[in-house]
Amino acid sequence: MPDKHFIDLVGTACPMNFVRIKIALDKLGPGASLEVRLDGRGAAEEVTRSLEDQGYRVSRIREEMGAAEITVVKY
Amino acid sequence: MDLSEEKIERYSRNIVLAEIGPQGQERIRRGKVLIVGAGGLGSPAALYLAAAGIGVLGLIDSDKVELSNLQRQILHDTRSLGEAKTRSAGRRIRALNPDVAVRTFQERFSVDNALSLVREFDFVIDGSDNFATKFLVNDACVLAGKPFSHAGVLGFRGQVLTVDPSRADSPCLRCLLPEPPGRAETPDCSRSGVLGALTGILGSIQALETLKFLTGAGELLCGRLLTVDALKLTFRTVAVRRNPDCPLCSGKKRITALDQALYV
Repeated sequence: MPDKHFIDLVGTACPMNFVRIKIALDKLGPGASLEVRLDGRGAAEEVTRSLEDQGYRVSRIREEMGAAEITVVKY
Repeated sequence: MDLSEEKIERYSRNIVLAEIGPQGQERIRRGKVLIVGAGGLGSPAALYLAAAGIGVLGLIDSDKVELSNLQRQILHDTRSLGEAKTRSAGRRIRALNPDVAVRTFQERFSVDNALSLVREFDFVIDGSDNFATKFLVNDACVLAGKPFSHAGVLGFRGQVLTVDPSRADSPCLRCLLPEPPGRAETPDCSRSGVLGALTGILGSIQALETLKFLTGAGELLCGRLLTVDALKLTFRTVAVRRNPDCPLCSGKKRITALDQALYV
C-alpha cells in the first residue's frame, strides 16, 4: 500500500504554504507522496512551479470545489 | 527535527531556499559560532546569525561602548554607552531572537584563552580591529583545526577570506602575510576613518560564509580573497594558495603553539 499523506493549506498564503509543504516532505521517506489542498488553481500553479524548481515532482493537479489539490512526490 | 509554529514562521525565508530547507535550518540551529570582537564587523555578523537562528553565539570583547562606536557598531545603541559591549550585545541579540543561546566573554581574546575558546565552537568570525588579534585568531584556529572568516576594513577598502584548515586549497592568513605588519605601518580604526556601511557589508559577508559553511550551501571564499573598493563599489576576487613555506600551516611550520611574542 503506497504511503499517503495529506495536508490542508487552504487559507495559507505564499510563501508559508510552500514552506509547510517542504517541512512535511522532509519528514517523509523517498518515493512517498503528499496530497496538498490549496487555495485555488493560482496557488496550485505557483506552488507547483516552486516545487518543480527545487526538484520535487508534482504528479497531479486538480480543482475541486473552489480549492485545488496537488500530489507531490518526494524524490 | 520538529519546528514549532513560531519557528516555522520565523525561519520561513530560510526554509524556502532550496540550499537550506528544513535540514539546513536544523544545521543552523545546531551551529555554534564564536565572534571575536563585538564591534564594526562583529555587529552585523552577530545580528544576521542571530536572525537566521544560529544555535549558540559566542561573543568575546573586553571593551565598553563608546560614543564613536555608534557610528558603525550597530549591535549597540545610545542606551549602551559606558556598558560592557558583551552585555549590550547580549541584550540586543536576545531581543532580536530569543532562540539564540548567547555566551559572552567580557575579556580580551589572548594567548591564554584563544585555544580553549575556539575549540568550543564550529566556526569563528574574526571581527577584530587590529592585526595582532587577527593573527592570533588565525593561529588559534589553524592549530585547533577550526574554520574561520578573516576580514579587515579600513578607509574605503575591505577584504574577506574564509580559512578551512582541513582543506588543501585553503590558505591561512600567514600564507599571505607571514607576520603581522609592524604597529607603525597599520593604523587601527581609531586613527583612520571607516564608514559604518562598509563594515556592514563585510560583517554580513562573514555571516553569509558562516551559514554557508554550516549548511553546505554554495562555495566558500576558501582560496579566494574578496576585496572591496567602496568608492567605486568594485569587488575583486584574488585567487590565493597555501604557501608551502607557511610558518603555520605548511610542512615547514615553525609555529606550533601560541606565543605572546608573535602578537605584538
